[in-house]
Order: sequence, then structure tokens, then C-alpha cells
Amino acid sequence: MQNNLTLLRHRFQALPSNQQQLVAVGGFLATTVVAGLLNQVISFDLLKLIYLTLIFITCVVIAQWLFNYIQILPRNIQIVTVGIIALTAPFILRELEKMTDFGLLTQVNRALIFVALAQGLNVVVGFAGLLDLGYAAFFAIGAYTFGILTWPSHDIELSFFLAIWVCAVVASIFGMIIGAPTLRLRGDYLAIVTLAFGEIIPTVVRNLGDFSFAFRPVHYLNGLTFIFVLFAGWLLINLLIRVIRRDIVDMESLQRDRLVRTVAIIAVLLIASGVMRVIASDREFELKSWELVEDINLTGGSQGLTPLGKPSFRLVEESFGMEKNSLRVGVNPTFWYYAIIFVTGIILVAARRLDDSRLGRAWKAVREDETAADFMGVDPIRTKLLAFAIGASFSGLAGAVYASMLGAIFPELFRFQVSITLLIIVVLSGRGSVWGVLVGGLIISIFDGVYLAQVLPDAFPDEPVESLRWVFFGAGLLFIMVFRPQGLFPVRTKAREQNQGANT
Amino acid sequence: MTSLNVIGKLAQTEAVSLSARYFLYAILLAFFRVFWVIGETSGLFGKPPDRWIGDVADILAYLHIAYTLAGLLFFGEVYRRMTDRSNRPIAPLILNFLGAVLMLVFALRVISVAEDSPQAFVTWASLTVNGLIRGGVYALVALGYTLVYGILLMINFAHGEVMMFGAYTGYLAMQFLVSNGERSFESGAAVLSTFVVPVVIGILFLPLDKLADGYNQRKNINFQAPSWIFTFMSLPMRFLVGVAIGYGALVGLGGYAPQFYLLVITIVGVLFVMLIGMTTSMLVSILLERVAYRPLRAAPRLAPLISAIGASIFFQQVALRIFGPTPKNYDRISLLNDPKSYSIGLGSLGNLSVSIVGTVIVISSIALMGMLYFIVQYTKMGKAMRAVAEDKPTAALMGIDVDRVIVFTFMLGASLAGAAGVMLGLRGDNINFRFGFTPGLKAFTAAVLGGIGNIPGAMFGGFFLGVVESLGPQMLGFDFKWQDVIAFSLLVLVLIFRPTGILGERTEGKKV
Repeated sequence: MQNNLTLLRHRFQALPSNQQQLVAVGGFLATTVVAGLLNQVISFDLLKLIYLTLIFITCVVIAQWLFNYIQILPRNIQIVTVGIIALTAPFILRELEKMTDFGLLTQVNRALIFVALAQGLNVVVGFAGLLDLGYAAFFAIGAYTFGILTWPSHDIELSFFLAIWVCAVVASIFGMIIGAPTLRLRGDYLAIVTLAFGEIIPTVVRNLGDFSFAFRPVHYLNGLTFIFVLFAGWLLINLLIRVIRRDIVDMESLQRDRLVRTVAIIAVLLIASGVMRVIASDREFELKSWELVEDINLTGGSQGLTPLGKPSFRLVEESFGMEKNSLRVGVNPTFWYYAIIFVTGIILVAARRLDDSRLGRAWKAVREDETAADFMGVDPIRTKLLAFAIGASFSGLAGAVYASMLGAIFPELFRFQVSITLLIIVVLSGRGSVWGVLVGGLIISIFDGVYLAQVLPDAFPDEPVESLRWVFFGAGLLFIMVFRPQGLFPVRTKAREQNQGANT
Repeated sequence: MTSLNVIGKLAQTEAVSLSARYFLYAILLAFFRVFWVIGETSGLFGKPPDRWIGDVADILAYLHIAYTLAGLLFFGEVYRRMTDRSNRPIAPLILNFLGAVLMLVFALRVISVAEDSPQAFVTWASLTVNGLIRGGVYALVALGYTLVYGILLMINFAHGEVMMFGAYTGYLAMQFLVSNGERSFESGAAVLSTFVVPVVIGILFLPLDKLADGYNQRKNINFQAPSWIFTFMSLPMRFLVGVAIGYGALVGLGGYAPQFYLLVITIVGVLFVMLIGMTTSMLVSILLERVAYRPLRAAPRLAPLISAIGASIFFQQVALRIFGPTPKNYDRISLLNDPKSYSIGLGSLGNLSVSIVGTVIVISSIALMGMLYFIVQYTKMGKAMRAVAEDKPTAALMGIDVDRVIVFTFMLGASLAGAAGVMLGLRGDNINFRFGFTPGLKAFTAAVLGGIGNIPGAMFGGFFLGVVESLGPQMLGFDFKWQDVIAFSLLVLVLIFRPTGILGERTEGKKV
């Protein structure tokens, strides 16, 4: 079996790149069909399933073709094309929604948020090569910081435009806090520790709904004090005599004279305890327990926080003399599309600039060989910390916008599955490839949110098709790691390396 | 002037190591102090607190704080070392300092909680026992992680799912028993025992002549052993005699010692369920190794980890498809579940009640660990495993089939995981498709705690984690909802302060 697999893999890697991509996408999607077959074969309308799958494959192929084509174009035209597509998308999607009755624009918004998150993970996993399995923790931190800052009951109600940046900063601080202890660890330890953090954060959030914190200094009052003091005084006098007699002149002799040292320490302690006892018994004071805070509701527990702040344009409204709240956006998806495009655009540009920057190259150096990078003058600790901080700040920003868009957050939104989805996006699209993660993230999230969550249940209302998604994702991860480890849209140099590695 | 001289010397030469040592003492003292205060408040040392017990607590407290201060005294040296850019180590000092501060906070918190709401000693004892029960299961699963890590330097992320399959097929085996009998586990086990016990005893009778030979030799009895053809011809007869004796014994037990009969059939039934679970787990892990790990053995380190995550998700969903989303529960076993617990008298301290299932879990997990230890230490395959763990290419040159050893390792770990899954089922846990995730993560934590790659370490880590998880919330005065947080924080802390684990062997030298 192993031989067959290896043979198959070599044969597959010998194919030209574009055919590889087609085979990969096709095989990937074929798992749906197979899984569908496994699942009560007879009742399935196979033709319908294949037809729908084919439509989706066509979309993917068109996207791939576009992706490749745009990459060849000159830079200005690239920007203009992408800009036009991005700006006109909501109107096209609205029309498509009317035609097909599927929620497209909201799913695209969600997909874009996931792209932004995946870009953050890509910085950590792709650029710096640190496997982070608990990335949803930063998402949660961003969203909950936004929630805490804008939830009306907390009486802070920061403006949306200010709060999202605060969230990014808070998330990046948490990124450093979580990153710092794990930096000494090797790859797979890091993975597990981040996974543990990913489990801790939702639990903490769930339990911070109602907590009180009390702390009390401890004090003791009881006997034997006098004897203690006498004994200790005697010991101390002994020690002093020894010092005066120059039995102990320096550290070495003190080290040698272990007995004396121990005795001295005990003596000091006994005197201290005696003094404390005397003071305490004289004044007869007893420290009462003092409680700092009681019954704080920070995160809303498992019910979560709702409603959260939406962007409001009070300044604009006031200065143009408009009616109050006339520009309030609420849940209008077109507005949110532009808001998210803006934030995701910032993140994309930042990721793109980081990719080729000095820091980006330092990340890649550390990823390839930490020791060599260290010798070349790259500070690995600083570099890795920055990777965590920047990656986390991206997801803090995205989390804040997501929280505001939904208007409600609860711990279930940030489960382990979210981390895994993001990891799948990054790995499937190609680790380290900014545009790849953009395209791959869009395709996978839309596949998940539209095709699996809407199209298939609509076509097969009696079947539990939606639960196929994890079969599909799990098999996809396995498949990609075994057959195409560089991902579907890899960085070109990486792809070249991988192919060379396969041929030699 | 001499004393000044001492201090000056101290600050320059020994400061860092001394202060690190003081912080270490402070940490150890904090542990003593905490346990002493818990013993004091729970009444372990007797009723009135106004005796030498309180003074010991005081001394411990002052020693603890004094050592923290003594460590701090030399802390200024750290700054100097950081600024003069020498290569003298300061990391242990900083870590020990952080550890000392953490322990101080921990100790104060535990003590204030213990004095605010003192718990009876029985409470602590029963929490510890619960922790040990939990820990037995963790240790079994952790052994699988450690075995695979020791050989492949890779985390078998799907190990929890292997355990889940063991638990599910154990459930199926139990259903099989129940459906064969009269709708109860015991009747099914009785039916099974009527077949199994005689056959097993018959098989035990097969090497009777070898035993007789050995006996004769030991006793210096000069007896000419019959030639092999007689031995061979007598095999069926001996088997039949064994079957007859076994059947007779079973029927006799059923008639004259029903309680003992019940015990025998329960043991047979539970062993059957456990064997089925272990076998399935082994098969699943062989599949896993073939599909997800073997093709990636030469790949970069992250690749098998990611494919393992993929496999883990895939297995979960397969389980969801096959067994459905509703959680499954094992049937009741009258011996294990009916009187839920028995109590041990602790004299004036009260009665400690221990659950029967828990006792069975702890005992059988220790037995399984003993078996594993025997296999790894004293069999040929175990020797080969250790050789492969040490150096794969050299082991291959010495004529060891590395692939076979790796598959064997996976099987060994998986069988323990399957047994652990069945044990959890027997304890009454709900078995669903996410059943393996959290115990898997916890078990990994346990493996890291003890030092991953280290077999006694995993056993120790499992029990340790179980006890910490069970005692932690009570000690810190938190709700029991926080125990996962406590467990994972422990993981993080251990990785910060002692990345090699508590009993860890040095793995840092190995190539990443």
C-alpha cells in the first residue's frame, strides 16, 4: 500500500502545475461524492449532487484561472481589476441572490472576515513556521474586547472606529503573552500549548460571566513565642561570635560551614516569627477578610454579550445637521461588505508588505533554519514574538469587526473548529502565500457557507448533508498533506522547490 | 568589615546560583506549607489548632517567605548580568524567580481559601481518590502518545479518536452480550462464559506435559518423557479434559457459589468488552499509521501533525456517521455499579467512600501499565522498539524491521487507549463522537508533564494530572468548571519551567 501511495504521489508530482491543481481540486471535491455515496447511497440523487459539484468545480476553476491571469498582468492593471471586482461585487451578489435565493452577500462577508483571520494565521504558520492550533483564541480576544468595550451595560460604549484598533492592540498584547512562554519550545510542543490556550480562552470567557475575587492576607496567633526568641537569640549570638573570631571570613568559608549557615537562617527566621508574634499578641488585631470585587459580569458567561456597538456617524450627522441615527447601519450587508473590504484590504496590504520586508525575510529565515538565522544576526525570539503579535493583531481587528457585524458574541463562536477551519484555509491554500490565502480562504469559506450549508441542504432537504463538511475538511487536509504539501495556490518559489525535491 | 566583605563577595560570585537555589527552596517550601495548612485545616493532625501544628505552619511560612526574600536579595545582579552582555546564565534565575512568585501567590491563595472554608480530611482524600481514577485513564492514553513520540518524535494527534473507537466498539460488544442474554449484561456474560471459560481452561491444559516435565526436572525425578508423537496424540484428549473440568467448575460455581460465579462471569464479560475495544483501536491505529503517517515520514515535521489533525477530524466524522449523534451509555454491570461504592474507615477522620468502578479502573490500568513495561523492557520486540527510538538507521542496519516496530508501537499504544476508552465507558461516561478530544488533550498534557518519550514519566504524569485536576479547584477555591483551565495552565507552566517534564529525559539534543 505504501508503495502504491508513493508511486501515485510521484506520478502526481510529475504533472505540470496547473494540471496538478485541477486534479487536486477535483479529487478534493470527489471526496464529497464518495462521502455522499457512503451515506445512504440509494436515497441520494447522485446526478443532482454531481451536477452541483460540477458547478462548484467550474467556479473554482474560473477563480483559479482568474488568479493565474491576474498574476501575469502588470501591477497597475492588477490593482484596477481587483478594485473593480471588489467594489462591484455586492451589487452582482445581490442580483445573484435574487436569482438563486441563497444568502450570498452575508456569506461573502463572513468569508472575507475569515480571509483576514487566515492572513493573521498565515503570518504565524506560513511566514514564521510556528504551528498555532489555538488561533481562535485571538479571534475571541478581539471579539470579546470589542464586546466589553461597547456592551451598553459596561457603560464604556467606545466608538466602533476607536474600539477596533484597541482590540487589535489588546489581541497583539495577548499574542505576545501567549507567545512568550512558548518560544523556547519546539514545533509540536508549541502546537499543543497553543491548542491548550485555544481551549482555555473560551472556558475562561464562559466562566467570567459571574465571578468574584476575594483575597485575604493570613495571620497567625499562637504560643511558644518566648522560647523561640530565646533559642534564636542564642543561635544568632553563636554565629556572631564565629564571625568575630574570623571562622567565617568570606563566601567560601560560609559555604564550607553549612551548619552555621543553616543555623543562621533558622535563627533569623525564629526571631522574625517571634517579633511578629509579639506585635500581634500585643495589639490583638486580626485581619478581616476583605473582598475586592463581587459578582462581576465581564463576558456574559455562556449567554454572551448582546447588543454590541455598531459603527455610528454621530460627528458626521451633527456637522451636517442630519437627524440623529439617520446614518446608523445596523445589519445592512452592503455596508458591512465595504467595511470588511476596508479592514481586510488593510490587512492584505500589511501582509503583502510584510512578506517582502526585512521582518518577513527574518521570519522565513527562522522558519527554514533557526540556528542558521540566529548566527546570521536574526534575533529569533524577537522575530517569533513579532510574528505572534502581528498575527494576533490581525485577528483582533477581524474579531472586532465580526463581533460588531453579528451584534452578539458567545463562547460557542470560538470553538476549536474555528481554529481548524483557519488552519485548513492556510494549509490548503499554501502556507506563506498571501494571495493564495486570499483566494483559498474565499473559496473554502464560500464553499462551506454557501455550497455545503445552503446549496446541498436545499437540493437534498432530507439528508444530513451539512455534517459532511468535517468529513470533507479532514479528508482534504490529509489528502493535501500527502499529495500536495505546498497547497493549492503556493508561493512560486516554494512550488518550484517542492517540485525539484520530488524529482531528485 | 568582614561581614561587608562577605556580602560583596556574595554579590559578585555566587549571587546568581545562590539566589536561584533560594528560589528553588522557596518553591519547595511553598508546597510543604500548602500541604501542611491543608492537613491542619482539615483536621488531619487532630482537633485543636493551638498546638505545635500551628507553629510548624508558621515556621514553614516564614521559611518560605524568607527564602523568597533571600533569593530577591541578589536579584540586582541579574540586571548587571543583562547589561554587561556576558554569557553567564541568568535564565534559571529569572525562571526560578517567576516560579517563586507564582508559588507565593498560589500558597497565599490556597491558605486563605483553606482557612476561610476548611474542608474535612475526607473531602480531600476522596478528591485525591477521584483524581487517581481519572489519572489511571489519562496515564493509559498518555502512554500511547509517549510511545509514538519516543519512536517517531511526532505527536499522534488522532490518538484520542483511536480511544473513541475503542469505547464505541466496547459499547457494541456490550450490546452484543446484552442481546445474546436476557437483556442484561450478566446474562450475556453468562452465555459467553459457558463457551469461553471451558475453552480457555482446555487451552491451559494443552501444555500440561511441558509443565510435568519441568516439575520432574526440578524435583530430580528421572522420568523418560514420551516421544512427540504421543504428546501430539494426547493434545485433543487433554483439551477435552480441560474443557470438561472448566465446564464442570463453572456449573459447580453457578450452583454452589453464586456470588463467585457472578464475579467470574463479570470478569469474563468485561475482559471480552475490553479485548474487542483494544482490538478495534489497534486496527484503527494501523490504518492511521499507513495512511496518515507513513507517507510523510520523510516530510518536514509539521506535515504529519497537520495530516494527523485531518485524520482526527475525519475519524470523528466517521464515528458520527456510523454511530449517530446521540451519546451512548454502557449497560449496567451489577457488580461494578450496583452498590456504587464501598467505604473505608479512617478512624476519627470519618469514612472515605471509594467507587468500585474506580478501584477496578485504577487496578486494571496499573496492571496494563505493568504489562507494557514488561513488553518494552524484557521482550525482543521491546528491545527493538528501544533501539529504533534511539537511532532508526542504525537499528535498521542491525537487522530490525523499522516499519514493523513502528506499527507494533502504534498497536501497543492503541490497545492501551482502547482499554482506557472502555474504562471510561464502564465508569458511565457518555460516548459520543467528540469523546476522544478532551481526554486526548489531557493525556497529552500528562505525557508532557512526566516527560514525553519517557514511559514511567507518562504513568506518573497521568496520575499527577488527574490528582491536580481534581484537587486544584478545591484548593484554589474555584468552581469545578475551571478544572480544564487548571489542567492546561499546568501544561503551560511545566513547559515554561521544565520543558523536559518532571521525570523528563533530555530530548532537546535531538534534531528538530
